[in-house]
Amino acid sequence: MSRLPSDGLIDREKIIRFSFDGKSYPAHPGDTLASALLANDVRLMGRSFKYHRPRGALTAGSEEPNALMEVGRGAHRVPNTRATVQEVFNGLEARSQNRWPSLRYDALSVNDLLAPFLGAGFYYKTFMWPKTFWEKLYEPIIRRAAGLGRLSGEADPAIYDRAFAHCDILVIGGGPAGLMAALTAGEAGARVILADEDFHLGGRLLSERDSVDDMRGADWAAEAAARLGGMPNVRIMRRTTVTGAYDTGTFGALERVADHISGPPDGCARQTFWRITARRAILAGGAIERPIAFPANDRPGIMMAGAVRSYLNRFGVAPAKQMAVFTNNDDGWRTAHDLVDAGVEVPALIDTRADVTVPQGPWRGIAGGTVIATRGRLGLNGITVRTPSGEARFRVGGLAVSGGWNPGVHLTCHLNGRPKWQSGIAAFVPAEGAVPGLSPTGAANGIFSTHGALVFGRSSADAALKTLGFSTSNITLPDAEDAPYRITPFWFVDAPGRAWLDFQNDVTVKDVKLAHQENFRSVEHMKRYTTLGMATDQGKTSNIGGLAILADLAGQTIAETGTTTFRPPYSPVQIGAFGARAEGKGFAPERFTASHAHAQELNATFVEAGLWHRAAWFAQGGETNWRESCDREVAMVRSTVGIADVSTLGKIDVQGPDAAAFLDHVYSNMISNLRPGRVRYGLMLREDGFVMDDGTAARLSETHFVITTTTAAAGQVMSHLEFCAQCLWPELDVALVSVTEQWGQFAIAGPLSRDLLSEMIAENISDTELPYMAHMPVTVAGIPGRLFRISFSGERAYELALPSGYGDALSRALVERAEAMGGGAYGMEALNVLRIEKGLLTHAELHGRTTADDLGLARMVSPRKDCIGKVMSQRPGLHGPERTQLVGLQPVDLAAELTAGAHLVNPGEPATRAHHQGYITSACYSPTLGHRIALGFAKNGRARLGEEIRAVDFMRQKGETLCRIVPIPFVDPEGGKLRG
Amino acid sequence: MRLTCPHCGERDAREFTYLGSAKLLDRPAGDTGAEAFHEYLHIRENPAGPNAELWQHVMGCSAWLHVVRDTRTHVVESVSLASGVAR
Amino acid sequence: MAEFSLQALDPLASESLPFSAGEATLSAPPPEQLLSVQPFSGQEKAVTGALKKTLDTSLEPHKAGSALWMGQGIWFLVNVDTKRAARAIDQRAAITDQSDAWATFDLTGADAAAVMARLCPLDLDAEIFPPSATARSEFAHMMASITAIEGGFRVRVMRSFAKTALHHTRDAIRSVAAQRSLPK
Repeated sequence: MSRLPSDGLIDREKIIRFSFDGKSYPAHPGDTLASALLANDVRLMGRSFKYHRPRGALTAGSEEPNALMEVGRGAHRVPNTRATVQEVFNGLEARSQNRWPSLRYDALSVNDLLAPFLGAGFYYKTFMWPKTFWEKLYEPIIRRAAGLGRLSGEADPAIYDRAFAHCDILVIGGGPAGLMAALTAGEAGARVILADEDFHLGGRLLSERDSVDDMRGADWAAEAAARLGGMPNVRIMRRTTVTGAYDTGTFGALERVADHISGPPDGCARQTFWRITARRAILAGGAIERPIAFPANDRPGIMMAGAVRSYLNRFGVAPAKQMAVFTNNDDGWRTAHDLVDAGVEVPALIDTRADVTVPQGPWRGIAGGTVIATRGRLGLNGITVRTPSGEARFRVGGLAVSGGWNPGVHLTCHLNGRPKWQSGIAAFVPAEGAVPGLSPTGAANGIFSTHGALVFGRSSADAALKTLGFSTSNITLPDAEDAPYRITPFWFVDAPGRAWLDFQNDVTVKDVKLAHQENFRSVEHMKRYTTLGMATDQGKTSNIGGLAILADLAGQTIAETGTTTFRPPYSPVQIGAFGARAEGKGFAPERFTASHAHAQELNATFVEAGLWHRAAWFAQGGETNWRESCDREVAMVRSTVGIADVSTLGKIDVQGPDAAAFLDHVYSNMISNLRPGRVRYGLMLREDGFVMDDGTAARLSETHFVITTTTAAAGQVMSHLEFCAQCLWPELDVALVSVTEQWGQFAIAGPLSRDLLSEMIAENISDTELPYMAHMPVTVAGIPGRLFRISFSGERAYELALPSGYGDALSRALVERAEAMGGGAYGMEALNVLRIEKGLLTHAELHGRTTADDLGLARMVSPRKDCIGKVMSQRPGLHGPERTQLVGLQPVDLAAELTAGAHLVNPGEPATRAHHQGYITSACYSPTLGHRIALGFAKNGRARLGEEIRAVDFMRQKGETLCRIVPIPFVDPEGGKLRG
Repeated sequence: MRLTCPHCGERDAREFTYLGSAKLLDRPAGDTGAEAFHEYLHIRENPAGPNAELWQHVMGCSAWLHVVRDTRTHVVESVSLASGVAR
Repeated sequence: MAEFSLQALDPLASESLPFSAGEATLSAPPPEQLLSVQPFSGQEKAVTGALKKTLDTSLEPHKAGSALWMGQGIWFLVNVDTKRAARAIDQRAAITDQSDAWATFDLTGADAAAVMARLCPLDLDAEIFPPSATARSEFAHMMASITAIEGGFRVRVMRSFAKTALHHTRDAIRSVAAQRSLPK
């Protein structure tokens, strides 16, 4: 066991158990999976992506490239979980990835032997011959080998929440800078959100032994957190990664609500994706240590120097019994001291800088030294060092490496900002103003001492408070270390053997050199050719090393070479979290009519029309097939009476002195000459001359209209009318308001419709009182409503509107009476057959590329006035025999099928695009006629009545049907039934 | 992204829908020909810089808004009621 | 014609309210009469004055009282005598009955704000959005009117959306309640 006897932020009183690759291990609350495995002497944690090289944890944080594991079992399994982030809980199950059959014996490590053939861009140069091998052999193999972890393949049972939060100041990161900023802003009374990706606040203070205000840094952090916790205006969000910076102070953040417990309670979200709106933000996310590249620098046991201190001081774990330290900066020395104080043997402290005085200690201090080789296949057991006086070998189980620190600039690049190179710290820092309203501070801004973090955390908060109009608080600054940061850049060791840059995508120094050699010389090309920085860690530990080498090869400075950018999310986010609450029925709201429950009782099958659920047919008696119900309902409407809920159509109330003039602008036909008490069919065009929607306009008085739209276009039409009223004709005095939901509206259609309604309506509704295309106010059982005499079926028909609260009762009353008369309820399928029989239009024909003239409705574009679309509807190309025009079609062989979507071709011509004659938009079996009928568009159709034409259905590939072009309507062409 | 609606205050962009160029406010008179309408409907400048647009606060007050937004930086320079914009 | 009667149904009739979990309760307030009022051009002042005088009802933006602001140039009069209102308005505004068009429900309790945070993008902080403040915004992807009331919020969505709105609200209430029981 590598657990140290005391210290650490773990609960040593409690023992919990977890399993890794089927074996059970003990751990403590406060452990991560990585720290617990190291405590149990497990250093081999995974296999690398391409070469399947044995790997262990490189870091102790979310930047981890190697220790990616599958956590959870069955449908709950989550791949690519970083062991350095995952909190251990009792019963946690973890498995290594990307190896077969086992972690120790991975057959695909043969790839490592094939490394000379698998360098950067190898897939551009291979797998091309023979051509047939690609689909059958190469691609399946590559697919199986690709990727790291595996998805469970089952539907994700977890609940994800989405939520919104608002604050004055968002503090990103809860280390010393962030805690100081939050305290400053909190004391000043601002609304503060402090978010940290970790489960403890404190940042680096948790991993270092430096004091703050004479107490352990971790203790000071705990006190600060407690202070913040007591402020009602401060909200602490732990386990919350701010994943992206977006425009106008919007931030995305992922909160891991229940990833640290086994089995969250019912209804509990596992994760919440937050959209945070912040008036100001402070980026105190710290810095990430970068490695040095040297041959075989990727063995388990080789770790970042700062991470070693985390394992020692935060988790009470010694990563090995002997560890050497390899550094190019003073910060690395601290690891040597901490290791020795924890009882770990440190045989060597190797510093690349020849001109420094390596500190004294129980180690061999080597100035001007580099590690040139390592040994140990499944875990480090030795290193070779090139010193000024020759080579030296050391037996070590671990090597702590520090190539310096990179400020965490990532969020500042999300709005296309590029960071600036600061040669003093040999690192990139955020560009000023890269994200408006966001100030980077502390280590994220290149200030590496604890004292600096506290000073600048406070001053950043003060600056933000000032711009927001708060008076700044007088918060005292705690004492803390202020060691200078001394570094001499050193990026890679020139010695034989592959040296790794990007551990996760298995990219080496050699790959970068190859890219440069093959002329992929810009940093953007190098990135994509080598895939350096393109893994799930977005190159957090590899980008700078890669472009430093590129700069070298190009003979440029790093500043001149530039850097690639970072994009949200900062660290991986499960798709389920982005799509929180949007799966299944959550994808879109459902809309139900007032008669829905009644329709269910009548055995309705529903169809979704946009968001609405509409009854499609009502299965009665022994009916098992929708056609049986539909055919019966059609016959019923044509012979007795049918009831259909038509409440879903848009209804817009239009009032005002200029209501009539306004409607003349938006309808193609005249509305202003409609008399009160009358209703008229109307067409609305788009400004480009195509038909947008159709409906009816009913005039209630000189200044009052109620217009209808199709169900699908209701929202679009309302928006369009508001645009016309506010933007195009703001001088017109007209008010618009939707009344779609105020009125439950039912169609009563059939020869017995008037008889039925006479029994229910107090007023006289004779044909003299209420002729076709008229309307009147009526009372039904004392409830005031309106009755319209309009028809979509071609039969004598009415539509009755009552306030929708009565919709259920009205539906029952109407259907009961209809059934007593031999009729009943009918649904959308029958409604569609009825209207096709009458040649009436829906959005199947009004599909956005048809004009009024195409539809045979040219007379509905009034010559007497301008209207939306009038001018463009008359432009060349929208008229004449080349246009496809609305026609009726029926099969020559009356038993044959006709399908919507079939294309029309002349007999004797090939069924190709060059000979395209049109297409079918609506088709059905007509029980009234006893055969199939269709509506469609045929070139010059109106002049071709009686001609034969072929309908070819390419989609369903059921052959073709010979048709005849016939006039519409198919049924009752004189319209005698309508007018009674 | 957030837009400041003159009625409702600052709101997330999710509450708005975008129509297109503010050029759509200048509808030609009905007696001008198809050429004028073609220009109105189809011909657009594509500035790398401030761009005048029309948005509607569909999830809010339903107001149509004239928005000037920089296409390079997404900074919104102004938002005003479209009904009040001088033609 | 035979005598018969029709019963009106409340849009939330079949929703088994009130519903509570943790520190949040979803309930249905008593049904409301809603009358939309849209003053015609240049008539806003006159209509406002007339309603104030005869019905002590103020048409103010972003406020909910006996008049509820519902958007640009439109208010709903709530539980106001519609005949008296129509007389006072005297053709100077467009009016329509909206009583049946909306479903109204209340979300109250200590966790009301936490629940609303999962459903609505508005900043509902009590200092910014105190009782009787009202806004038009989005509620679980639906057009809605949100009003702050004592102890919580009153939400109005169009009637046909009631089932979806309540379903999402219950899920959010359960989610917030469940989080209370998680270990720190």
